[in-house]
Amino acid sequence: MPSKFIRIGAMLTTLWLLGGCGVPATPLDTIKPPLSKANMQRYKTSQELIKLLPEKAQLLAPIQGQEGQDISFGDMDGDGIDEAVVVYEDNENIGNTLKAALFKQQNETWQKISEVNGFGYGLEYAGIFDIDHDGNNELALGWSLGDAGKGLDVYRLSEDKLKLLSKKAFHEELNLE
Amino acid sequence: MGIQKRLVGSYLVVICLTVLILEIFLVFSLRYYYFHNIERILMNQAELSASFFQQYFADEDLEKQSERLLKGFANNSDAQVQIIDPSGRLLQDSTGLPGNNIMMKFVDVQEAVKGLPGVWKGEDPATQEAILAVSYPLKANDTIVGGVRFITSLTETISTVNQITVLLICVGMLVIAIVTILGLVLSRTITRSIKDLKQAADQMTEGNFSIRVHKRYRDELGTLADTLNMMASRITKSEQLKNDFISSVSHELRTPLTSIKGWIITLKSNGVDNKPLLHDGLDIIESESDRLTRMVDELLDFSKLDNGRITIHFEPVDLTELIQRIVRQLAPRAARQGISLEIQTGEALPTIQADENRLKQVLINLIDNSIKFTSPSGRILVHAYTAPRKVVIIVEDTGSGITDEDLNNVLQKFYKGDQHASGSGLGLAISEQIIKLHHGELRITSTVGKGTIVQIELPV
Repeated sequence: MPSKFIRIGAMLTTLWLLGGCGVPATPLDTIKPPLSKANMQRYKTSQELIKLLPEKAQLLAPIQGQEGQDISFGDMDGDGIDEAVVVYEDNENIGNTLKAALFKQQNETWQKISEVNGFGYGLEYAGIFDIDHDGNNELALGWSLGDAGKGLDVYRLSEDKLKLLSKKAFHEELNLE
Repeated sequence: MGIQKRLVGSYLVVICLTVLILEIFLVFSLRYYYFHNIERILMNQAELSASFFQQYFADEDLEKQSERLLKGFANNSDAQVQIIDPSGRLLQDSTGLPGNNIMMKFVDVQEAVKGLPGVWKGEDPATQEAILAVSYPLKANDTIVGGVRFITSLTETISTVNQITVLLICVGMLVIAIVTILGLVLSRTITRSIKDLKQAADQMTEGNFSIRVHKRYRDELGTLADTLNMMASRITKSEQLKNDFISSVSHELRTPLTSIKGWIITLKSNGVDNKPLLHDGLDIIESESDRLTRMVDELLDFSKLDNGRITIHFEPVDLTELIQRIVRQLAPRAARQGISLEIQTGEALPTIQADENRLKQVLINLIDNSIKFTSPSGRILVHAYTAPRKVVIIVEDTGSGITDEDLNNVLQKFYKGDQHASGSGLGLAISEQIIKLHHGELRITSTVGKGTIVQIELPV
């Protein structure tokens, strides 16, 4: 019966509309620079790390420094092996969705060891280096709220957890020295 | 109400209900989707702004940094953004509204200064435009230092929602229209067949059995059309048989009557003087009267059979004796036509329970038929034997035989192989009925040009 088909079709369309199931990427979303040889290793690592993040997570690249890369590397625990920091937007929940995750490499595999919340509209800066010149590297995360200003969080790794060292507001360019 | 109207009507009711439910559901989902999402986006923005403020800018006085903050808060939003102090006084407005306005009349602001997120939907007091406002408290070290307020016009939203609603309704109407047309077309495939059947049945009621129903589809209605056609052809055929019967019976009755009348006239004028002629004439009149009587008896029998009023009086019958008596009775007639009528009964046949007169009638009819269709120097053999639980009587002749087509019909009443042959066409039909009433069976096998074998089986 055609009326039956129409009804089933209408129901499926409704379900599809309501579910909004997996709308494919727009053409604009698919534009990306081709991989260079140096970037290859980075790309592989980022693919590995993305697998460890929540399903709908979207990586954020800092606006300043690190040549716009979405992963920052640096040795935070002093064992000679670089850790990785990824800042991502968690689209699962409503509300504050920026998060930074710290990954540690153990036996060639990456493991997420700590995660902190971020603020504002986007990531201004992400980097691992010795800010306070105490011989240990710290993690610096700069968050931005547009023209209102920026906030810089500095974290130290202790017992495999990120501990907040300081919190500061900036209205001009970030001066990390 | 016609079937088509009912079919299309029920289609329409079902589809209208479905479309209606679907439309209501869609429109409500649509409104919820738009308004809820707008509110959520604004709330997110407000929350994000407030939390950033709390994290990094809480140390500075709100009013002093409000101009810079507003730029940041409004950075990612097309909505109107306001910053309010804890007393509800407007500090900053992204559309350049003059400050120092007291905003406490808005429900969302009241909520925000109490420390809770607030939402308000209503009309702009100045322009009467529909607006949605979301307020979020700004906290510094757990004290409320003010609020941030995001306001959007709903004009665009409402018109978009209305536009989509109109589109949805149009699509619904289109679906209903398509289904109605489809329903009309589809129901016609059913109703056309029914109309054909009804017209044909009407014609048949009028007595026109030559009409045939056109079979459109091989469905139940198609089968019904076939059945109706078959019924009409059967009625036509039996009508034909009845007419043939009446004309042949009239003819049959007339022949002996003509003969009797002719002889009576002859005898009236010459009979008194001519003794041998008188004798011959009376003989003929007697045999012709017998023929008439037999024919009338057959008709009576037939009408009794037809009404189911024929009765069988079972009594012990000695079959050997009965067969011999009948053969003896018919032998002279066979001899006159140069046919040898022989009898062959092997061992003694058992005595069975049967109606002697009826059985006699059957056997006479069968032998009579054989005599009629066998040419001179032919041979008729009557033999009987016992089989397990039954007695078989066979009448076999070397006559003209019966064609296959006729063979299928000879047991039917009124049927005659040749319409002009003498007889009522009832003999075999009556014989078969009588054997059936004896719980026996009558079977005919025949080869054209060689002869016919009639076999009667009677249970012992």
